Amino acid sequence: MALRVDYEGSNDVGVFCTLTNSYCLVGVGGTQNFYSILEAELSDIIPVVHTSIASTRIVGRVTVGNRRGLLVPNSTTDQELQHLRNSLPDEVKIRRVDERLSALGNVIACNDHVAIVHAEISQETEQALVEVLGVEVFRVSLAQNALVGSYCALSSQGCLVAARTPPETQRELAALLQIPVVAGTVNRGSELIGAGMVVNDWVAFCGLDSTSTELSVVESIFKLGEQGAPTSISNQLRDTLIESML
Amino acid sequence: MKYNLKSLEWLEGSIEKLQLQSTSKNQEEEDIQEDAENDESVSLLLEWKMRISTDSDKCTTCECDIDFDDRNAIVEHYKSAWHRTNLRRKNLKISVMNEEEFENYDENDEQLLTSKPSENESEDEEQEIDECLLPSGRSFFVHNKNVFSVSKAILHVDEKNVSFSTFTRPFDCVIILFNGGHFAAGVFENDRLVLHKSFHRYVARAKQGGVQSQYDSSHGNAKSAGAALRRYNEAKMKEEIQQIMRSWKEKLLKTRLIFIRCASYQKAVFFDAEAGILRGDERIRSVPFETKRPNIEEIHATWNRLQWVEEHGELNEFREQMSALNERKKKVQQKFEKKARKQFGDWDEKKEKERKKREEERKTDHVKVRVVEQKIDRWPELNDEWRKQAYNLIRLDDVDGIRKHIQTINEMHREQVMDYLRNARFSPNSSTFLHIVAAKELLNMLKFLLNEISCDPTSKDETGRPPYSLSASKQTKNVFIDFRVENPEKYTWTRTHIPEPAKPVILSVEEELRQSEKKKEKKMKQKENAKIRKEEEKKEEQERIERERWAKLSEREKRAEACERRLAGLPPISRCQQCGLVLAADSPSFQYSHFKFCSTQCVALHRKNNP
Repeated sequence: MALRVDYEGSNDVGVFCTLTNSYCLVGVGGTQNFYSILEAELSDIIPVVHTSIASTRIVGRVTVGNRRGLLVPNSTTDQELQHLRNSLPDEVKIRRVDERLSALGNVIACNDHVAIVHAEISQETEQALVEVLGVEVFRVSLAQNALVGSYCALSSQGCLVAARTPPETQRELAALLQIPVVAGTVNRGSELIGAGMVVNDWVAFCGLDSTSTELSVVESIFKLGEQGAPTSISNQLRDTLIESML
Repeated sequence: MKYNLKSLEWLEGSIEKLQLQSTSKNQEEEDIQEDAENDESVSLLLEWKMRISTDSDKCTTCECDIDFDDRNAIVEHYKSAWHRTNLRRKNLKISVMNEEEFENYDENDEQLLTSKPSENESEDEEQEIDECLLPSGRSFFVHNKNVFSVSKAILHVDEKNVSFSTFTRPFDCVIILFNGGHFAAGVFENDRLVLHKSFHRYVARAKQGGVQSQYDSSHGNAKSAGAALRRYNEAKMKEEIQQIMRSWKEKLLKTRLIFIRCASYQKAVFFDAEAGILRGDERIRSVPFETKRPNIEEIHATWNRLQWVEEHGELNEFREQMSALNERKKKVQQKFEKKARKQFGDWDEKKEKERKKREEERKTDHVKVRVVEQKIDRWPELNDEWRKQAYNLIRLDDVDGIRKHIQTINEMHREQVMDYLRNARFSPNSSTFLHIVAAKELLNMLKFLLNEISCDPTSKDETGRPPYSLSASKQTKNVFIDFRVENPEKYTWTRTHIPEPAKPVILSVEEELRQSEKKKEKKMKQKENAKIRKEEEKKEEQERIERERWAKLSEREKRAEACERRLAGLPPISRCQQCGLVLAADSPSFQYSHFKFCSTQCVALHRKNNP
């Protein structure tokens, strides 16, 4: 199921939220709306943790995690780390990494099995990804977009990349990740997929501006809800897509 | 001596390409290159076909083939150093390497690579400098060991260098000259002018320059008759030119060279004519020299001048000249670099020094060695114990205590004590005792310090404030002010921020009288005001009672009362039907039937009560 939410009027929910299969981090903020929607959807299943990272709300952009662990930047305070440690399930490992590209969410995209990362991240961070998140790490760049975390969203079921990613890169990525890859947009044409939405294996949250076509693409590529196979993009959605192009 | 394309001497002997490096190796290489160039189109086509046929099971970064069905192969490739390096290079917008290049590639070069272009490139640059020395608009060739050049503009689209055919073929072209209101064009075929046209129209603004449309676009439409005339002429001229171009369409399509000389904004005229000249047409050249007013003679002259061949002397001499030039240029460059280094060098050195210092500090940091500046103690006779005690006494506002404490020091060193109390500085803000005392509002101690120790109230702390500015309360300030009154000449008082004392006011008897009168008057006025207010209140009260009475009256009684008033000859008073408020004649009233109301609330209430 893909839901539309907004964070204090901003469509970029991926900026203020990190969603994995075993926990969800949301940035502390002024309004309760965002939290209530997330909590209504998730809190029966996984903990929803309100936190700041390095005293900022942009937790989605500075952290990266999956069901096994969480990486936070070096600027995270001890207090925040302690809070995270107390709130997250015990089996989730947390590590602070000293990475020059400190917005980890912008430079790393990962699911429970693989991570695709920016070409310039350090060897230590790569090691941390392997140890803490238990993933295979690949350095790629999505054509002209080197910030893989910003321009793609990844779950165990599929991968959504920015609309202007060339088909060769998509094929390559699909072969590498062993999941279907599709190019698309969120938030009414935004290419910043990673910043505009969060997804795990059973739910996705997109910005409030996302069109129904975009939501359908999200639902089908991440296999959320009833729609099933990603081929439904070409089958079921054909008419909608063509109509939106006219 | 000027040569011409048509000179007969070109027919004897060979035409060679100019080579500045006289090594044979170079020549071979270039031969190969030329071959490659000839095959370029074919190879391009082939490559394109390949691309389509394989449909690219390729790493998009390294452009090497990978089988996408074999995941291990992909993973292995992605983990390889080659792929990683290429990815980084791609991000830095440097060309990616193929596998062989990568094997020869030294890891150490990488650091250089990230900051500077590679060594290879700089070598290329050297060669380029050679080429750069030749004027870019001319094509050089060697004939009978002499160097000549022609304008590059006369070479056909597919030609890169002067060849034998350049001289043997007729110089066929179309020349169009268009400037202001003058237009001339000619078509040359087989070295003869077969078609030509030239005319003039009045479009340029006399004594101002520029055509009318240009003026209009920058200043807005001019309204004069002349302007209208010129505008009309311009449009007409455009039409005419396009007509001519269309009628020449056949020739224009056929010709290999088109020379157009006109202002860039006027070029559109030719492109819009639909006469076979398109935007970005490679046949279009600009005339590489100045031309005069467009007419048929100028067309001829241009055609002739385009065929000029310039002589540059003997090959060897030419080479020497070039190498000398090259060296001179290098020297100039080096000078420039030196200058630049001089300008920024000092700064760099300073930075370097700083960096080194910091590094050293870091190295010794774990031993906790720190260079502490040695301070010279101004008051050797005062031990730490004494100082601490003095500080405490002052903080406790204990004047007697501090007097006794001063007595403990020998008479000989009394001066040191005074100096200490005056000038000792304490963190934070390096404040003196006076600062501390003023801030703490220790009034007795403040007086003591000012009067007996004669501490300097002009001394400023680190934040630039004198003690007076730190004083928190009025009493403290008053102490300072009193001190100023007592010692009007002791310090430069403006520097202490202590204000001048307010002068006591002395009044004469008359003035006193006048003032007392004023007071009396004031009192009287107040009394009167109170009286008036009371009366008003009384009136209001009456009005209120009246109003209430009236409101309670029934409809009939109200009408009767109004009637009585009329009979008595009094002016009628209209009141709000509901609350009885007197409605002024000009104030807005709300009416329904014959009832009048002061507000909508009253209307609503009335309606509610009388449904």
